[in-house]
Amino acid sequence: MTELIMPKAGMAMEEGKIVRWLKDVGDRIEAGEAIMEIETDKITMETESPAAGILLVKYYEDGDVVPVTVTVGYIGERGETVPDAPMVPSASVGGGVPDAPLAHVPAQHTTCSTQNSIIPLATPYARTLAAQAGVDLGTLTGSGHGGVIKARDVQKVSADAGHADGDTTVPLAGMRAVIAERMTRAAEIPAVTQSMKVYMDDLLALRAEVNEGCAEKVTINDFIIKAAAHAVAESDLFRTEIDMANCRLITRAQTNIGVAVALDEGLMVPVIRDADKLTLTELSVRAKDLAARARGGQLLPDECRGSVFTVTNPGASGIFTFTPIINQPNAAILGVGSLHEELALVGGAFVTRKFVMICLTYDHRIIDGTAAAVFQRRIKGLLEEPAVMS
Amino acid sequence: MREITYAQAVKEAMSEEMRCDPDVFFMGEDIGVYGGAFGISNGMLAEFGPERVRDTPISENGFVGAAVGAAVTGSRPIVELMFSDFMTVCFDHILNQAPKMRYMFGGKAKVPMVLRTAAGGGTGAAAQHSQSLETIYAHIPGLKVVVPSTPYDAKGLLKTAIRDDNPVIFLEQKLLYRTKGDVPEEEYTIPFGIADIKRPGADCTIITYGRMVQLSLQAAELLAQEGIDAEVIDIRTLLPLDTATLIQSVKKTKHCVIVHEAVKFAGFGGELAATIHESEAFYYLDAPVKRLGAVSAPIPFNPVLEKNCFPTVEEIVQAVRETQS
Repeated sequence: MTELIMPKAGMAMEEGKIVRWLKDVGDRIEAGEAIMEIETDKITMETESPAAGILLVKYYEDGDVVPVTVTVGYIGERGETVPDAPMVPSASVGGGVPDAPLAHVPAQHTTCSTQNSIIPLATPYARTLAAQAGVDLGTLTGSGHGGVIKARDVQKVSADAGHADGDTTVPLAGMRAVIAERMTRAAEIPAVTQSMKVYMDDLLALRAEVNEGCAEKVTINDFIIKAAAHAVAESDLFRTEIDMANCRLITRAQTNIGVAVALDEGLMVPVIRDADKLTLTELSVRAKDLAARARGGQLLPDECRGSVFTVTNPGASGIFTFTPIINQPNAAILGVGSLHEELALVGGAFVTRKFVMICLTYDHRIIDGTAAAVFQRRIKGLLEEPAVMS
Repeated sequence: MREITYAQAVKEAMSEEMRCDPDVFFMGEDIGVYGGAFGISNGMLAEFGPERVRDTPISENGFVGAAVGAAVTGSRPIVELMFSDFMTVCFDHILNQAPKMRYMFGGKAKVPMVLRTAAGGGTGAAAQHSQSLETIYAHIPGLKVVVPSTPYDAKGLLKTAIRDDNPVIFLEQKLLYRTKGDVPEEEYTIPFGIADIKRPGADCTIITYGRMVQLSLQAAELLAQEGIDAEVIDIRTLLPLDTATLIQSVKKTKHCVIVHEAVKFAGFGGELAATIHESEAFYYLDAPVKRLGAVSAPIPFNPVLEKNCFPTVEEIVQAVRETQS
């Protein structure tokens, strides 16, 4: 009999959500065959069966969140007896009788598909506090003996929340927790943001030309990613990471550009590798594919790693300028405002011109203001004369 | 304040009550000339004479029955049963006569007697002289059951027992007889049904009585060194039981460990745990209630084996620690 565990798919991963089981209890499965789909703080992925055999038991249902390395089921041969619940390591002292398996998980609830049908093991006081604070015990991970939810676990999420009637509390977990942790660390970076106006009329004209008769349209953002990749490839500083712990600067050879993708539950930054070596069309296809898979939860962990520079474009949101936060360990990030129109005097005549503000936030430990201005002007130049890029 | 032993406190309580109430008399095996198997009543024969300090034959069934009759007919007997283990030979009086009469006679009879007896182990007295059988008494409606842990409590509670119009089982743990403690010269009594918080604390309630109070207090000192602030509550009387103090304490500390010298299985700790679980304190528990008691075995004569039968300070410390983990 082989146990199936919630895998630890990344260094920072502490729990995973079973998005859905791909096999039912009783199904035969081969080693390496996909058995369940899980969601980590970063991505959704399929988990492979560690052995061939029959899926004998599932201890958790679709939608359940399970700490990493916890047994979620067993694979074996028909007729093998499985424990009523996954064995939980015992820390008790004395007493010759080994702890019985925790009895809170029904042996078979495969016929019952109600969500979160497992009753969380919690002390009475934890339940009392949770009821008072409106905390759902099912969302907590117990810190007590055998994973029991204790009062302190509830207090951790409800502390300082200053609960009033109607308020709700949810634990900080998953993608939101990762973002919170990274944003907090980013606040330590001495960063400067500077904005520059970029006229877009020529680029818009070129885009219309390129897209003429094409099914797959190139977006403004594709041009911006292209321009950024161009400028980053030319500038070692913008491919440099700071390693304070070891007192060194590391300049990356590859121009891998991260592209922020907004999701309902947070933000993901898939990475376009060697973006400077791709044509505008290739880059556009690649960016669309990554964004679509990010929204579908199908990105692999590696597709979110290794960027040297990030572009974030909130699109037609009406934003004029903003101060993007550096995506560590990048040295800088480029934010793009919405397209605006202005009246200008050109050659003695009034004309309307379209522009965006590009907002560059850079790590002042690595990059100084002059270098940043040169870099930003380079992007401006590329965008205002886009023909040189394509 | 002066310090006296637990044994002296028991003698003082009996002597004071006998001085002020001529109806009180004392009987038992070897209590007169010999001064009692544990030396409690040394000098009492000389002070009160053979009418009021009566040596009996080895005949528990006879003299406990006689005490019930004397109580019903107007005296206030104190009976010493040399070892509480011997209650079985006079058990009909303890179970069917003394506690029932007041009820069965519609309140027309009362049974103001005290049955004092030496209980508990730790003296190398083996299986038939070392038991803690208080739960058996506590299971009988109509009896009151007292297990004092200090000289102060022993004196104050025994005086209350002698003045009580109902049969009282007064259990004195043998290892406590030589322990010393502050006892005022002035007269005082301690009412039944009032638990005593021997050490206030915030993190875990240790509910205990008798000799285990000392061990629990030692455990609390060790726990304090690790930052765990244990509250030690001595229930003093099992029946009537001060449930309010226990419930209030557990609501405060959120954790509860119960310690007694009697066998854990089906012991009084089960009643105490249920008291917590049946009360609103249940909703404040942040760990299961833990019980410590003697192993389910006749107490061995071998001193090493005997020592390992009973809860130890280390075990109490560990149990409290586990509630906090």
